[in-house]
Order: sequence, then C-alpha cells, then structure tokens
Amino acid sequence: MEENELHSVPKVFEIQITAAGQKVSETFELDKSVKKVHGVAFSSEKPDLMYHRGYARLEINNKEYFPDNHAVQRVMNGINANLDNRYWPLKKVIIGNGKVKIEYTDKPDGRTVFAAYTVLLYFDCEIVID
Amino acid sequence: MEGLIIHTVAINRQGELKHFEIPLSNNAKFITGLWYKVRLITDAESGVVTELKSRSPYQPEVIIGELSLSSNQREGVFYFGKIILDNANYGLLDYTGGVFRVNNYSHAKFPQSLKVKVDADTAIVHGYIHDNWGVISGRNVRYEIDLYIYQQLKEKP
Amino acid sequence: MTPALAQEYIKRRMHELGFGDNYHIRLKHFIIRQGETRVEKAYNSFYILVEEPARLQIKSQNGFFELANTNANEMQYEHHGKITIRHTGGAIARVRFIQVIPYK
Repeated sequence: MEENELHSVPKVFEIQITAAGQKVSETFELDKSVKKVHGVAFSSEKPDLMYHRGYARLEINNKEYFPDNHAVQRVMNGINANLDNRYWPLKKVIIGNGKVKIEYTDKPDGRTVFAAYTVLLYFDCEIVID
Repeated sequence: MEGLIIHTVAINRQGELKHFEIPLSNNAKFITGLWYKVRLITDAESGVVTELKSRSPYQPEVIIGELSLSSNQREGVFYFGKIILDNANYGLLDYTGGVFRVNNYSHAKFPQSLKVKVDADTAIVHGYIHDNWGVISGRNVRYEIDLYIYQQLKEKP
Repeated sequence: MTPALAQEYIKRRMHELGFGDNYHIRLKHFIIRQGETRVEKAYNSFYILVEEPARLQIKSQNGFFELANTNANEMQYEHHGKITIRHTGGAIARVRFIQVIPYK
C-alpha cells in the first residue's frame, strides 16, 4: 500500500463568551481525516480579556490535558514567539473518537472591564489526503 | 507522564499569613515545575495598588506577597520567593508603539514555569503565603492565587 | 510545645529526614531586649521552639511564630535557615529553643 501523505493544517473552533463570569461547556469533533494532533493554541479578538480572565479545561478523547481552571494565559504565545512555536505542545495525543471537550470559564480579575468576546481554539493537526 | 495540580489560595485580610497544604497525586514521582497566577477579586478602582509609578520608564513590579513551599522530607524549603503581579515592563524602551502597542498579552511568550526537582515521596507540599498587597495598598485586598504544581508521574506497571 | 513533646518530635523528625539517630542537641535560651532583633543562622541545624514566647516575632523561611498575630492561620515551631527573632514591645522577652544539629 502506498504511504499516505500527511499535511499540517490548523483546525479552528469558536466559543462565544457573552456574560462576565460565564462558564461555557462545549464539545467539538475533529474530522475523520485528522490523524495527529500536535498542539493547541488560543486566540481572541480581545486578547487582553482572555489573557487576564480566561480559564479552560481541555479534554481530547476523554483524556484531560488541562485540568479545571487552568489559566489560558499559561498557554498563550504572542507574536514575539517563532511561527512554529505558537502552539502549546500536546504530547502523545490519542485521537480515538475525536471528541474535544472544552470548559471555558471567565473569571473577573478586578483589573479588566468585561465585554463580549470570542475565543478561538486552534489545533495543530495533521490530516491525510488520499 | 506529566500531571498538573492547581491549588487556589484565597487571601482576604491585610498582612494575612496563610499556611496551606497541597496533596500530591498518589503516583507522583517528582515535582518538576512551579507557576502561579494572581486574580484580584476586590475592584481595582477602590485604592488597590496595581502599578507603581517611577520617574524612569522602568516600572517597579508590584510585590503581592511572599511564597514559601516545603516538602516534609527535605530540610528547609524548596521554594521561597516574592509573588509578583505581572511583568509591567513589557515593551520597555520601545518607542515605536502607538499603533500596535507591546503588551504582555500580545507579545509575551509562554510564561516559563520554574524548574525544580523535588522527590514526591512526601505526599504533601506544605507552604504559606504572606500578604504584602494589602500592606502597600493600606487596606484589605481580596485576591486568589492559583499555584500550579507540575509533577512527573510514575508510569503504570 | 513541651520539652517532652519536643524530644519525641525531634526523634521522629530526624528519622523522617533520613538522619536517623545521627544528631546532637543543644539548648538555647535567648534573652531579647526591647527593640532588639536577633538573627540566628541555622543553615545546618534546626531550631525547635519548646515554649510559646510572648512579645516576640520569630520568622524564617519555614514560617512565623508570633502570639500576638491575629492575621495568621498557623504557627511554626520548627525553624531552619536564617531565623529572625524580633522584639515587638513590652518587657524583656525570653525564648527557649532546642537546636538540633544533624551530622552524617
């Protein structure tokens, strides 16, 4: 059998935060063509709010990668970082059923004023192209 | 395999000294890293010091308190230091700013956790936080500190 | 902590730290005058408080001991490293420690 070619592509999921202190729980599914997941990155159109107020629990295929109330700040990489170093590396990901569960919590930190914002969740994936 | 424990300590009073214990996982082998994040609960407008002014462009950092962590099976402490609010000097001396200002949320790299190597036979990490934020603000400041303890876990046999 | 409890504590603590029975003990009785701050260096030994001294603040990286402090939720009897003993006002204060010096 001819070896499949793997291509590196990002997969993007979106979460809306509409109220201060809100907890959003969502489950996404990775495409069947995704064979590997190398890393995760968070982004937002209001990065300051996400940096100071964002906490996320992340699960892939029922395996926990970030525990409850894990600060998003910890896994954010700014534009000073190399292009190939912007994803937080996830080790030994078994894709299994491909279910990605995220519990995003917005916690007031006293120094920021809330406005509705969107959180983008990027996965650094390798997909197979027939 | 790596495991992570997040322990939250809440401070409510000026000059408070709070001892706490963090239980480690059963199968923890070593403690390999430390990191913390501070969350202010009191409103910042009501007189809480969140930045210090200075004459030079360099801004002194706000020291929130003192953190000490010790393992019962080691002499002394394995971490002792000041808790610092944020790196206030991001983009120091970058006078090109204005259109796209340098901020720690847009330009910072992954915050580095502090590397330590402590035997995790002890099962419990004992530590304390001694408040300084309330002291410099001259009032009770309510805040929470999340302590991140990275541990190396034993592989299952 | 009473001296008897301290002895039992020291024995078990030294076993926990892996020194076994290899340690000496010394008695230390400090007299601290008004306004005085005394610094004891105990990088190779442990200071165990055997009483609860009034009018003093004892501080090291292990923790604090101050009876008058209402802001703390725990006090520390075992001290190590740089120990600062500060007089907090009033009459002359006395404090007794057992110094434990492990050897290998």
